Amino acid sequence: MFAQKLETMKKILIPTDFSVDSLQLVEYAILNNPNTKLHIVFVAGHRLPETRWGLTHFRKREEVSRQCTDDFITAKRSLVLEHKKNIEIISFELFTGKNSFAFQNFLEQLDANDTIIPKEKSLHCRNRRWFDTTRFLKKNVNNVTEVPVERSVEIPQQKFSLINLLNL
Amino acid sequence: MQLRTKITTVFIVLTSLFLTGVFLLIYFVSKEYTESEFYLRLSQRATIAAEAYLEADEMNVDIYDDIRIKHLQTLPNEKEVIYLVDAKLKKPLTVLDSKLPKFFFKRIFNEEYAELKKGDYYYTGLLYQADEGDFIVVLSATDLYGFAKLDNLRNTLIIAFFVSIVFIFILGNYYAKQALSPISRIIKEVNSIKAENLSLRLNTGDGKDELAELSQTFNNVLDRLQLSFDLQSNFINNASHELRNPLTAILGQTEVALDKTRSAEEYHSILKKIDTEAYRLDFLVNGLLKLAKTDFDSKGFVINAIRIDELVLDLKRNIDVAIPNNKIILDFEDLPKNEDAITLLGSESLLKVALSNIFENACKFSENKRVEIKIVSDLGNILISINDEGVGIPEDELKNIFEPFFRASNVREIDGFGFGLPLAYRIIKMHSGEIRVISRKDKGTLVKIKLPNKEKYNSTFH
Repeated sequence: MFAQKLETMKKILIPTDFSVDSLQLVEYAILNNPNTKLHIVFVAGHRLPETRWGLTHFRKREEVSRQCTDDFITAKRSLVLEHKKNIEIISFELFTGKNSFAFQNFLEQLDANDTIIPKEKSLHCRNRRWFDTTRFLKKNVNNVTEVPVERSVEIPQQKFSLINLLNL
Repeated sequence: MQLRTKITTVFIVLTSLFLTGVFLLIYFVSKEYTESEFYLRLSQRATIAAEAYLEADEMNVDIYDDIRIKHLQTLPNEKEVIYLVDAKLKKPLTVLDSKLPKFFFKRIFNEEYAELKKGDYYYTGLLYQADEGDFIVVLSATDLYGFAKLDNLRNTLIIAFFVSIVFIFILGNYYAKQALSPISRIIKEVNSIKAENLSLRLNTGDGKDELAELSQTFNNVLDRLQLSFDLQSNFINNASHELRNPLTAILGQTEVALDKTRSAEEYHSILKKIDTEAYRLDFLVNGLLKLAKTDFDSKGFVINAIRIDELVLDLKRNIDVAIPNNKIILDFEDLPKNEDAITLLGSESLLKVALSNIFENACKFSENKRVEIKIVSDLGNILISINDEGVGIPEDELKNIFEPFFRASNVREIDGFGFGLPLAYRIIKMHSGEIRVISRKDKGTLVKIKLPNKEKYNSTFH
């Protein structure tokens, strides 16, 4: 009648924009791997600082914690609590490269073959230093599962551009 | 006033104000510069005049007059007056020009130089100390060339102002028309959409500006309207169909029974069939009544404090009787000890209906495979997750699952009416909760329910 212990363990890469909606991908990961312990790796793209000062003081952990809103932290906490049996660990990795070659090296370090990505473009990075890694994951990871992610907030479109200014 | 006229008017008023400001600045800066330049010329001429007249050499006067006539030319209405004064006592020794104000001479005594404009005349005064005594040299003239230049500048600026306004009016009007033309198009397109052609959509263009967003918003509203129209018409179709099936069966059986005299066993068998169909009909009508009741507000139901774990255990016992081979696994491992955290305030009977529908669906659509029910409490909420390994729901049908009588395309063979989940949705909403369904076809379904617990309820409402 009561819950059983799980044996196997799998590392799954999940792109994130640090929004509560992006956590739906973790739920799909759990649904797709019912009897498996999961190591969820949130992958976010981040452009390295240009200055020497910025590079010397660049800390992955600080950058990630700066991006995590209270809502995101709360939702992640509830998610871990609800799926304690399935989620072994949740970690964050920052991809600081610019192309697929760099991403392949990044993947080698992570040693993961599975990813869950949103079917449509539903991740949106508010800060221009951050970017969505979905396309890199889709192109380079062996087992890609695409799932629908429902957005509770509309993704803002780029509103200002010089070309569009006079183009009515 | 039309929006186009309003935009053009505001545009013209703002531009006129801006142009007026800029042109006034240009005019007054030029005027200031012309005057200061003329005063400089006057003061230079006054110095030369003083040097020429007051240095005791007769030759100088001739040389000065010669230079002035040949090279410096006489200024229009130029006049030089020299007054004998006592610079130490600051007193005139000859009669000063009474037409000129006293402060002009006072300033000359104090600062040795003064400027004055009276009418069209410019005056400069110098205090000159020579061997023969102290003198005040006053030189006056009119700046006819400067006035002409300033008049010309003023006229040019006035003409430029009016020409600009005409151009701005034409351009502003054209641009406002261009800017608002998509709105006129949208109005035209929206007016052409009627109940008969609800599938028509507005053209969103490149989808980047506010008007494209407006069209997109209209399209989204139309999507929802069409969906609601479709669902309403489907609801009536489905409800009629579901009600007709048992009724047809009952009518068929009664017809058979009344056709001729039959044995007691035959009547018994027919009545049993009628009973089954009547029971089915009763279940259906009761379900519809419950669904209708939940559409009203939540004032009608009795609120009790309910321990969620006890409620779920109670439901599990009921399901064990109804579906003996179910494989529901309960996970209460992470329940907190604080009773208020796992207690919610609501209608026990309604919540039982909602949760039992979801639990039974999980068993039914997974052919009694393993179903995990986990309850946790976090930050004022009770979180219930129901995870099955069943047939799942096709991705494109997920958005319709809370609509009455909607049945996913892959479960048509399994018995059901399609109002279990809609009923559960309404009940959860009535309790200020949330319900989400995450599903993958052939992988399973994860239903997540979030309900406020007693702690949150008390802190919110008291």
